[in-house]
Amino acid sequence: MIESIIAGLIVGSGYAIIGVSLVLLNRFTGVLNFSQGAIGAMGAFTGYALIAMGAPIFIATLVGIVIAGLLGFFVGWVLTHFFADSTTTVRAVITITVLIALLTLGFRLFGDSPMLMPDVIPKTFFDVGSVRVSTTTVVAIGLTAVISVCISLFLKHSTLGSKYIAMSESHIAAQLLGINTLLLSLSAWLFLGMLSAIAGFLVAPTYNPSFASLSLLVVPALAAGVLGAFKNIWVVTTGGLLIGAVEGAGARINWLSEYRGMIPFIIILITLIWIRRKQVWDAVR
Amino acid sequence: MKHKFKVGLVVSVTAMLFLSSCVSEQSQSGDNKSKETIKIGAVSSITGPYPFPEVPAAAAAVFDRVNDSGGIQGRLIEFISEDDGADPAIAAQAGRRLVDEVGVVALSGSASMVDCTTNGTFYTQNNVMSLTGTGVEGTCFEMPNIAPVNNGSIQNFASLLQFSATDLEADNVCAVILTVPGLTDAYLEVISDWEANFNKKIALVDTSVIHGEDPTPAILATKNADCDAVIFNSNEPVAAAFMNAVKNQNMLDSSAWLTISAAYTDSAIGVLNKQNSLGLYVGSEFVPFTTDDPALSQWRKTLTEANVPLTSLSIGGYVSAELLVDAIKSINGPITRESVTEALRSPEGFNNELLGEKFLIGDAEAHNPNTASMVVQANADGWEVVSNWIFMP
Amino acid sequence: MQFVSSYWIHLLTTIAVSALLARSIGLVTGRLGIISLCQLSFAAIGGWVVSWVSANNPSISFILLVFIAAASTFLVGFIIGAATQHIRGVELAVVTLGFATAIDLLFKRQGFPGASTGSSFIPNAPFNDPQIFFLLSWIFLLTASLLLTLFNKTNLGLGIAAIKSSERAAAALGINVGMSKSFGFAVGATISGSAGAFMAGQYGLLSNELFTPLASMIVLATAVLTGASILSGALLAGAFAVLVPEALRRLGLPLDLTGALFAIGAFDVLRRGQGGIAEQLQAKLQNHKFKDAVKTCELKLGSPAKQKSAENNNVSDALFIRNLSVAFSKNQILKEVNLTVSTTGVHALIGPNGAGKTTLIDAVTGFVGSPDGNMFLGAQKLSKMSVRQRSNFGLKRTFQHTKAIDALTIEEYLKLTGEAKNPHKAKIVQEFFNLPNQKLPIRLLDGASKRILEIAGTLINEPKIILLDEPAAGLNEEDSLILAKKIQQIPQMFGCGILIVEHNINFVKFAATEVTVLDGGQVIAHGDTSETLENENVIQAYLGSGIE
Repeated sequence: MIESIIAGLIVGSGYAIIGVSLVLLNRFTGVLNFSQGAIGAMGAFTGYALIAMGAPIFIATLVGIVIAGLLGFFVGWVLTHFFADSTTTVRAVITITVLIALLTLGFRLFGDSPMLMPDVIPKTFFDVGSVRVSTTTVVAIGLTAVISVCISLFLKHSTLGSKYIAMSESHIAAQLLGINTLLLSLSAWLFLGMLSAIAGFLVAPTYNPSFASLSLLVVPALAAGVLGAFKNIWVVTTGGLLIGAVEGAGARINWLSEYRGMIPFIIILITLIWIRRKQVWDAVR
Repeated sequence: MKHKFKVGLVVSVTAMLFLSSCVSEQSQSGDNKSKETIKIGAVSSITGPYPFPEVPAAAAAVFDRVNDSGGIQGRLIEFISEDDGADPAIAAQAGRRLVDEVGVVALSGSASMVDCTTNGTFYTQNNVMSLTGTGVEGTCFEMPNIAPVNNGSIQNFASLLQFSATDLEADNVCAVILTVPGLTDAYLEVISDWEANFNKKIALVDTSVIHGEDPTPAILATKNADCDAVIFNSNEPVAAAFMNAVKNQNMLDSSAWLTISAAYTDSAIGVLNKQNSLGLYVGSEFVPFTTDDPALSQWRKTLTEANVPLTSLSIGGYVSAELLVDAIKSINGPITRESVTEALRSPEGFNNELLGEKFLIGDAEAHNPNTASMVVQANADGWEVVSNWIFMP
Repeated sequence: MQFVSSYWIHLLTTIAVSALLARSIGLVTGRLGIISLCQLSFAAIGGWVVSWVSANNPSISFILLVFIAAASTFLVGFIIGAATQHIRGVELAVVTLGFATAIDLLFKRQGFPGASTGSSFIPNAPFNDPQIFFLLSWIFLLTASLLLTLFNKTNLGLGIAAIKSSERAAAALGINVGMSKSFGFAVGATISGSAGAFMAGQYGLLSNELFTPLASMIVLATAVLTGASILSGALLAGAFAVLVPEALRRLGLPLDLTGALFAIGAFDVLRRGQGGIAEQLQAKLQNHKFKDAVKTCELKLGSPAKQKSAENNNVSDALFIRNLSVAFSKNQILKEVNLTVSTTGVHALIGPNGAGKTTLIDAVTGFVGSPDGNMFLGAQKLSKMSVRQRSNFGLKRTFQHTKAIDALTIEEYLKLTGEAKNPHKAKIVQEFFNLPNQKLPIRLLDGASKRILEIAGTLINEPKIILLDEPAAGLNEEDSLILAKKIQQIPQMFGCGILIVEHNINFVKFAATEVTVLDGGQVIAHGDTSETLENENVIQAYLGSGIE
């Protein structure tokens, strides 16, 4: 059981990181990006394709992360350029069209041949009691925590961070304060795209996903985001890890094991019904 | 004005699409009237998430070879290979087009994620046979008018169960069934058959992991069950991932690991080698393609000339085309859909040197004619054959 | 009687089935405003039900199976719709995506009945004949579309369009928002479910690949591209689903481009923001049809025939507000407000910005959780009543920002405001405000006329008290004075009392007989219009806020 939970935590770290990127993007740019997982997947798969071609792991990983960042930047540019005045729903539909396009491209580029998905971080094992733990697990959880801590510190204590906070309240108000919201939005897209690729690299060696399944990590990541009410990064991080752990544990519970993939949906449904239970009316007045 | 133009454009494009469809349809049926070629079709996933382009390509290579030597009864073969993009709607469209519009006499060399399920009923209704190059779905082995030339995952899994009991002499045999839609029951059935035949009890059956997800939970379960041999079902990438997870749990030596034929590829051995997870046993549904068995030389020559990858999958496409050619050659009289179907159902069956047994379709309601297989093992030098033909009781 | 090849029969059947799917998106996304990423999951449920029921009852007729599938998906859709009625917008899209992945997983695990044994589902005669099956699919599509068109004209259907534009306004019109949303979602699910039933009949065996979340997304993109909220758009979506892969194949292009092409098309349609292809076309036709029609309410004073005399006014139906206090998280908005609106006159509520005027209307009409104090309409205590109940009881309102529903025509809007007890009422109201042609789509009206239409709407269904929030906003000075005089006539003509919130003091002078002044949530003055407006405190309050 404990081993299954630990195995689940690695995938959970992917949920957490993509969840954090989703939430931050949503706060800073007002876009709920359904294609965030696919952007990360594109980066990770590019990296692994380069490794398969013989590139050194470090370089390939770096290139993969940069590719995902640029892809995120591009999607962000398209959204800010063409859809600045659109409603959040229209922008969300746009990200769905992006997801369709990325999946098509991903299938085409990374078809079916087995992709060697080596650990980006050298892997060793150590035993805690009777449980075997890999450095990958430790690194995955540690990195997730570090990312969350850094982002929180950055938002709370840096000038740039406070600009982002101002922007998350209102773009127009931020512009009046002389903040270049376009630049900040696009930087967020770039950075968060890179983060999603990191999530892909963390998860892939254990999970060995297909392009589609890595792209659809966005669903449990959304569940984590929903747990944090699309606000609280800490809850999102813990939520992501927890969902992973519960799924891992669920694998060993007979009645649940086959359907544990439904857990994110149940979490989304129950959390949203609970959060919105008093929201009888739509937008204010 | 701009908008008017745009709407007009859309309307005219739509109209053009429609008209072009109609027009070329007519020109095709014009070809049909000449009745010179023997039309054979294939519906395969050439694009999409899990493409199998080499299977119909191998069949095409065979038909080209036959055409180069003059065709059959002086008639050339016209092979129409359709892509379904793993989309059932497109597969249905392609299947109906081939049967209704093109009027194929049979299908051969198909390898699709969705063809058997979507078109199986339709093939039955139209009494057209499909000699599937690679039967991917479970349905391929359950339809009256589909005869796959491969073992299929279920049969191959059964062979591996037998191999672990007879050749490996394992006491605790375990099964990890990575679930694939609609196949779990079939796996459970071959497991209980095996239990009956060998008077043994399976030590563990794990169905908790979906094919393509992290297999670690199932691997950990086999640790607790103290397995001597673990048989799992997987496609090529999942096999590599599975073995990587086994290695990560430091369990490579704790039991023998066996998987079905999809992992028997050049790229898989490369990956297994690189990730230090050798030792995996894999089934081979045909004469193992990595050996220098003389039966393979003609196959190697044909496919190399046609620039088709030399894989186990491409043997499937190749064999299905050869079997169909043999069947058509056996016809005395006009070559029609009816006569081809009848010839394929011949109680004599057909022999092919790449198969371990006679390929007999007959009149049954479901077909799995090729149940013979061999086992190869991943070693540092490549795939090594470790068994003779295994025949199912 | 083979009139086209059976291949084309298949394609035409597929067009009908795809059109059904697109139509369900058109209803749920286009009409109701919910982004659904799970329409194919409902189709999967419909298909599963057909395969499962027929496996157990082989003799059952296909038509009956379609209805069983439709009923089951209606139920599932209604439950999901009802459970998620407070979840909106993008969050609801997340729920539907979650549902789609969960259903995808379920069918990956379970498979469809018959798939593992190869026992296909073949509809019983006569529907095993592809031609008859094709006819059935088109008859079903056209019947369903006809029913949907009729449904869209019922109050429930009109209400769904109202909900998309604003839930608050819909509730104020007396619409049961939660029920209508769930019902609309369920109808969408039903259409998809029947499409799934037809898929089962068409393919014999169903593959879970048909119903993946990606497939649902592509259907959504196609529906957005073609504008599937109307039948022609849905048919175009069906045609695209068949003809685009066919064209790609003929051009020798890879078929996986299909989804990407639809995505790009949807992207472009959303970028232009004018609706899908068919919707644009319909809008253009409408524009053309009403090119020369009057699109404004040209208010005329005149002297309308007295339709209703003051004695019809039931004086006891007055609105009594007693000690009303409202606080939002320690922020006191209204403090012990007392106010009476009689049914015989126009009462103006004025005060500086932030005085709590709109909050008062919200509290009276039921939009504020549970305010302290008492409110009565005649003898009826309002506190326990929902927005809808208050509206149906005769308490009507308009909003500060116009909430007229662009998707409807004037006639439909007036119908939606309530079944008139007096069948001539709509006509009287129309003449009173000089409304344009009944068939005119509201989207073609100018802003000021939309506001007048909203006021007109409150009068249809025997109102007792109407509350108008800044009725003159957006009108020029001349028109607003005419409107003021019109409003002044309403109590006489229609026998109901009026409370107006207005900044334009001239408007108040012309319209109102009585004025209450709010400042900081408290009543600072009350009385005759002219007297009160000259009150020192009132001038002070206004000037004070004006300077700040």
